[in-house]
Amino acid sequence: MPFREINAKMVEAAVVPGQKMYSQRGAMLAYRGDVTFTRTRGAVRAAWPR
Amino acid sequence: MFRLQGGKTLAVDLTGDGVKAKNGSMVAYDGRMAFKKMSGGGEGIRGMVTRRLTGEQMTMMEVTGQGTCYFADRASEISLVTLRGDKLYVEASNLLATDSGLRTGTSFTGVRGGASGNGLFTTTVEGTGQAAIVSDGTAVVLRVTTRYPLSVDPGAYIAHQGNLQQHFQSGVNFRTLMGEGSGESFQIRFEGEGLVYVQPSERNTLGGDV
Repeated sequence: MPFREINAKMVEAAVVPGQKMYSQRGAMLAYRGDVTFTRTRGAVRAAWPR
Repeated sequence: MFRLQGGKTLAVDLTGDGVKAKNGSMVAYDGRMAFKKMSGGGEGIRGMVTRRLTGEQMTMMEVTGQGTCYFADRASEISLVTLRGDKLYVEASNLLATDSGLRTGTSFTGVRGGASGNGLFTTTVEGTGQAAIVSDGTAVVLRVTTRYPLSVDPGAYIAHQGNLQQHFQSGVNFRTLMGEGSGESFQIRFEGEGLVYVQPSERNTLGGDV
């Protein structure tokens, strides 16, 4: 999953069709294209508790 | 005329002309300066009525004089916007200063404004000149084209310019209602040609946690 650092406080991620990426819940600032957001539980959630 | 000093301080060189700035945002100056309180929503009686009707309260001051005046707002990051006859739409709390020749007013934003936590109206800045906007963290400018619309979290949106149409879009579904929402259930979708300013921080918004 390619990430690009926009500045010290923002990162851009290219979401490839058919692949998932994980982030902290509510961290999305903006997006282009067809993207869906789904809450996950388990290991990822344990790593980023909110 | 406008220049940044370190990203969090705006320096404006005045040679007898003026600048409009957020009330109380002057942090230092050299030379001779005069400060006069103004109000947002437009000038004159029309502006006063607009402010009453819209609740878009933007208290500003006009600074005139000769010398250099420095402005800042709670160590927020500052971005400079150059206008060439076009219009900037900016949340009142994010507008720091404008050239005195630029006109300010209010514009109805409807559900989008309500969702972003800044009321149903937003501030407009129009004309030719420079404006300074503040953000919580360094803002990025994202280009919108006809081929590539942009969706923005209402809490991270601070301003836009250009020929853009905006729509409020919701991804509320059964999971959201069951308390299993992704945290990204509401967005503002921008279509057309223009620029959108996004900050790396999110205000508290209606539905911001669903």
